[in-house]
Amino acid sequence: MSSNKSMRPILLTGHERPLTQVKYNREGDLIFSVAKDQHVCVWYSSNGERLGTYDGHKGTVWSVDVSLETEFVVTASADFSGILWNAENGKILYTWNFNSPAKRCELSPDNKFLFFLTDQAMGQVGTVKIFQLNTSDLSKQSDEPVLEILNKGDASIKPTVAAWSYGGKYIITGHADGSITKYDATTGEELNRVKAFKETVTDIQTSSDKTYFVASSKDQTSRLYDIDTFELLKEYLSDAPVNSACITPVKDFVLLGGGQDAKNVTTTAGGEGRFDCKIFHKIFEDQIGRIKGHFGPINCLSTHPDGHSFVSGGEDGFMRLHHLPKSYLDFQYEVEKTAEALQHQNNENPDALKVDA
Amino acid sequence: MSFTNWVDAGTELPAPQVIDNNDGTKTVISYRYNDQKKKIKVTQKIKLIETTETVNPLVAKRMKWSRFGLEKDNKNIGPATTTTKILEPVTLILSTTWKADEEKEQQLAKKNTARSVMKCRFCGNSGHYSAKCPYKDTFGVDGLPKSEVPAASDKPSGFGAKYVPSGLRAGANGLKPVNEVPALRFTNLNSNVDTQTLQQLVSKFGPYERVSVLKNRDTGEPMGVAFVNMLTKKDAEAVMEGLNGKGLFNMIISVEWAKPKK
Amino acid sequence: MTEVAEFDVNSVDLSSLDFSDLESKYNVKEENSLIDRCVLCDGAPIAPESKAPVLKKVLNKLFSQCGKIEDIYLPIEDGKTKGYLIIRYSNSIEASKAVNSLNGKKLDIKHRLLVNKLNDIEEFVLSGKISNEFEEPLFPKFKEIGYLNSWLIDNNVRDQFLINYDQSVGINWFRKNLENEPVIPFRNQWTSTYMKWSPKGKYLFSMFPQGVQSWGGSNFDRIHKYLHPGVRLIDISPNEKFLVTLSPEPIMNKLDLKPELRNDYPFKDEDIGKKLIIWDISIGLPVKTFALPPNLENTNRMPWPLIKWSYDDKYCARQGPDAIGIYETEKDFQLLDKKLVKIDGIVDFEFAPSGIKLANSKKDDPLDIILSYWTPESENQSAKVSVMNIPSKTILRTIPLVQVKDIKLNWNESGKYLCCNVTRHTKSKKSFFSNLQIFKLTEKDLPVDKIELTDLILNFKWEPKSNKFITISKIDKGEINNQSNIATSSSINTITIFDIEEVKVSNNSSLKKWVPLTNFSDSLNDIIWSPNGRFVILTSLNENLSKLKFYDVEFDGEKSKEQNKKVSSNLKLLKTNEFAGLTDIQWESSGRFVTAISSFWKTKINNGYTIYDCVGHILKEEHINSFKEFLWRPRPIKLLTNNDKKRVRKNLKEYAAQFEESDTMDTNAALRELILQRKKLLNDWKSYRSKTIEKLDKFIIKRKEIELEKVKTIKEVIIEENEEVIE
Repeated sequence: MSSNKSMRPILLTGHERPLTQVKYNREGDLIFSVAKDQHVCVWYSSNGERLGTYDGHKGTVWSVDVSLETEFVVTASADFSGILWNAENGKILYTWNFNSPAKRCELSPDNKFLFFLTDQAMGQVGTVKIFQLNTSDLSKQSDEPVLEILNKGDASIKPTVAAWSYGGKYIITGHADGSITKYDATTGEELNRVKAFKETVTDIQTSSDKTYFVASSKDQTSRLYDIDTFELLKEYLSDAPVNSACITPVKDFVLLGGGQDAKNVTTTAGGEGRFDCKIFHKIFEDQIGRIKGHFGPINCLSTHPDGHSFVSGGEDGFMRLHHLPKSYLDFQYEVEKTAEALQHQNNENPDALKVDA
Repeated sequence: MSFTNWVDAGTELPAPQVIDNNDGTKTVISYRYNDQKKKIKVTQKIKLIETTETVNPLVAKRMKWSRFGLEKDNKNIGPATTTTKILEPVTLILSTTWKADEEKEQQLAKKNTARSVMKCRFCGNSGHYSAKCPYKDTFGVDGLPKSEVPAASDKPSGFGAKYVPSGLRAGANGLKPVNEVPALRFTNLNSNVDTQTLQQLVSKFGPYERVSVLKNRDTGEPMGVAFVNMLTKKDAEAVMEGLNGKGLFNMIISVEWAKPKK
Repeated sequence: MTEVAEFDVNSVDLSSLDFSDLESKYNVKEENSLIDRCVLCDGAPIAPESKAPVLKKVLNKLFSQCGKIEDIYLPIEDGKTKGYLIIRYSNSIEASKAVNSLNGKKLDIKHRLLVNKLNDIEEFVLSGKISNEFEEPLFPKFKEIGYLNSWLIDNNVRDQFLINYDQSVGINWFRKNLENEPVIPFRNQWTSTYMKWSPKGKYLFSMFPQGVQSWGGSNFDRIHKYLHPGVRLIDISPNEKFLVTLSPEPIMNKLDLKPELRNDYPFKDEDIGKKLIIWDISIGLPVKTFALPPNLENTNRMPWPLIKWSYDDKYCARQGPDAIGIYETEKDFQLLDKKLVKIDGIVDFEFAPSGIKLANSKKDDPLDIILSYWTPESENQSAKVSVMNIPSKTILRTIPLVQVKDIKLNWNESGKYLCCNVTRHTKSKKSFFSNLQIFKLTEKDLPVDKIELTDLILNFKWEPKSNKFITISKIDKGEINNQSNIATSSSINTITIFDIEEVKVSNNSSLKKWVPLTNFSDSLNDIIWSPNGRFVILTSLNENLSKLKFYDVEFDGEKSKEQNKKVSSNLKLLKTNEFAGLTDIQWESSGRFVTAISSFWKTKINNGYTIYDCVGHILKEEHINSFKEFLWRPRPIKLLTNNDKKRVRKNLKEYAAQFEESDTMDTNAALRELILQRKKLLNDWKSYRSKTIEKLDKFIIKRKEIELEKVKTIKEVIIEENEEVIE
């Protein structure tokens, strides 16, 4: 069916409004998707079959996360609530109510905590609310957060996205003014703050070991930071606002998705092609390819934990699931090939022929 | 938020048809536009195959989960055509010179399509017109004579490779269109009229829901057609009365009720 | 090399110079002076006075062999002779002769005569020039040359090549995309004629009027001088142990040399007058000398080499009239079994180029050394080709042949096959045609395959490391000159490639026979195989404009229809190049590169060279006035085991990646920068990651190994897809 270079993307059309977040579970067999249409969908990643929907939100669902063993799902919605779902049957286990839209939610790496990022709106301060999760009886949760990290400023610097670090040690937030901040997840103390971008931060996704992360921004760039040192590691330059970026496992790549906002698209000549998913080399920072297909900006990206497929969700309401062809997995820079060859030879036979350069 | 501007102003594509061949395969007929804006009819014969995979036991367990939510009543095996579609192959070339490589590939593809000739609708061979197909009468075993194709599948689904406004898609029951008030269709607009100008113009008659000037997808040039949704039907009527047949930038504009789409 | 400072002769004041050293050096002594005619004989018996006349008589008789004796002075003291005597000849030549022939002569068991010229005694002993005390001779200090195979451990695995032009010789490193990089600075006057590498590349030999010199090590320092005045031809044994030199000038008597040259003169009296010398390369001394066979004296066409070697340098052999002399190199070059091998009428012989495992040999037997030779037809005898085992001298197989004009013995490199290219004449003797007789040495009873042709084979070449061969032939209608086998360039020849077809004869045995893969017509005359086989250049040397056709005989693609399907080879013309004034083609020993050469010695057109890769792409071109030679430095036999080779083949892509990278870096400085920068980025990233992993080891959640399960899944697969344009 697919040759070395070509693949057949699978178009997932379960949503009717722009996608807001997509996420694979730990084994990568399921994809969870949320959109502005109130539905939370779950799909089999191998064939694109929709397994079910989690129904109950009454507004845009902004964010979704799934537990390590895929027993439960958590969502954050513009309807001022966060919901804990039974992953297998779509039943609501618990609902948290907030005073403003919940923009982001994520379970800590050990699944003992979770946070909701509530929006700075309706007179509320943008806050990261960390809750302890009662795993023994999921339907009995506490409404009282164990920690609240409040935004220290007006809406122009409110947090827009957030993520856990390795070990649940820190929480990284991205802000509307383009800065990124690291907080101690137990004390709430602000540890680092960097003005990383010129415009709002649109997404933060960590590496699989959660020791470094990629942040994307409307300012058409995306940057890679180390969590411990908060040192800028790499920068990727796009030609359109970046709505989402993710680090691919297996290959040292970074995927960037985005596109011109609707109101600007026709003013740029040849608006077509701006909605592609760009593939950058993580280490060398060059763009090495792209995948076209969406009719609107890409809002969210996620890769399979084994790195062989990824899914993108677009402003056009479509999700595109890509099982990557061999050419993707085979691609290497010459220096990578050489390094690999040398390493291989050294492992196999330390006296093997070497090319010194 | 408006997201219609990148919508192609072209005509609607026919809804895809799904025919169950009752032999473990199904035939899906869908339509799309190619690079030359030609309408392409894609006939796919799809087989559901059972494969054995070695997976994590957790995954194996989850594969046995029963469907829930909107999928609860779906008893079909495998992905539903309404939510899942395998698309035409996409070439992925990774290279530091990917831009140049992509261009090369495109030119090559163009060359190939330029050479490709019309294919017979019956046997799929080139070299003769469909009407003169030697298999025309003997057809019906593995082909699909036109007469046997159901006029429309009983479950029209609104997806395709082509963008379909989300409100018109199958299963779009949860969300209503932007407004109940019928849209106004402006035609014969001067190409200098952009969304902003038109917004100013119609706001004199009352608050508007949406103003969109259709633009050429490639050049960004306004196409002289615009759709306007006013908040109330009364305002909309006022706009039609006030602007239909009036001159704007040396052009006599015409305003009428937009015909609802099928 | 020493540099000669320029100076102006006219500026020197002659009166201020002291010429006394020159005067004494070139002072000519009066010939035939009294003292010159006398010799002093020491070591004679001490006899009582009474016996003195008898002794004198005996000695007189002995010494008069060398000339006319004018006087013998036998001193007597205390009634006894003193054990020495002085003999005066009529001239100095006789005196010299006495020294040469009688010095060291044993008079009887106890007495050995020591004969010296009296004036030598005068000059060296009495004058005090030589001390009476014994002085230990000074051995020349050991000269460090360095590792002779140092060029093989080049980091970039580059090859070396030598160019000889005008008055200079240069040795360069070859790198695909780069300018030549000199190994050592160009040397002027490094040779008076040509240069030669030893067969495995360890030594470089240069020619001088006084002899040959060997060079080696990373700086090409001189290793030895091989004194052989007038040397013309040289040859080196396959394992680089021995050097053979030939000069038209006979080896001189030491006494005829100037005294200052006598000291290091390496030849003994028995060598005098001989012209062919075998040297031990590593010690720089002659080990055997031969006179030329009488039939080769004063010939214009000297067959060369005159000495042929067994594959392991253990034996060497030379052909004489009706005999071969086989010498054991490890036993002071004694004749094998102390006698010549008589072969009546022998025309030519060849050693097998490799050791051979004969069918009847046992598992642990050493490889056999085989020698082949042929004898022509005589009145009541047919012509014969024989193969003989050395050292047993057993004849393993002989085949008789009739109507034979000439036989060429072509050994396959492996020694497994010997193809005799037999030129036969028709009964009318007006025209010629060829038969090929192929001995299969490793099979039982040495079967011989016969391929009968109607054509006359002009050229025959085995493929190295393989058992294919190519012939160039044409139908002889009687126009081919009896004397020469060289085709005229305008003629159209047939070029045929033969390969082995295995024919099953029973369940567990099959018969190998050679069948043509394909043939075609072309005017080309020369076959130049890559040393590793597979690639071959067909061309015609020594034409104004030669075509070089690069062929692949194992082409990895579709096989054209006209080729024989029963054999696996697949011939493909890869590229045709043209080269004006082509005089020679030299493959690099790995077969990756090949050079076309136009040498000033043979043509004045287009002197210079062009280097191609093995498929015919030009890599480098240079035109040099008075260009003489281009020589790739040979490499030793690969030491890689079969497993090593397999591993290399398996990881070929990885090796290729490394070489490609270094090639790219060579071509372009900007790219080089980029690659180096990327390397740094990659290393930085790797060290960043390993640090992080180390640091955060405890935080990173490790998942247990999970046993996997087999499950069935359902997937949609498009089995047919049809697209049509409908609008």
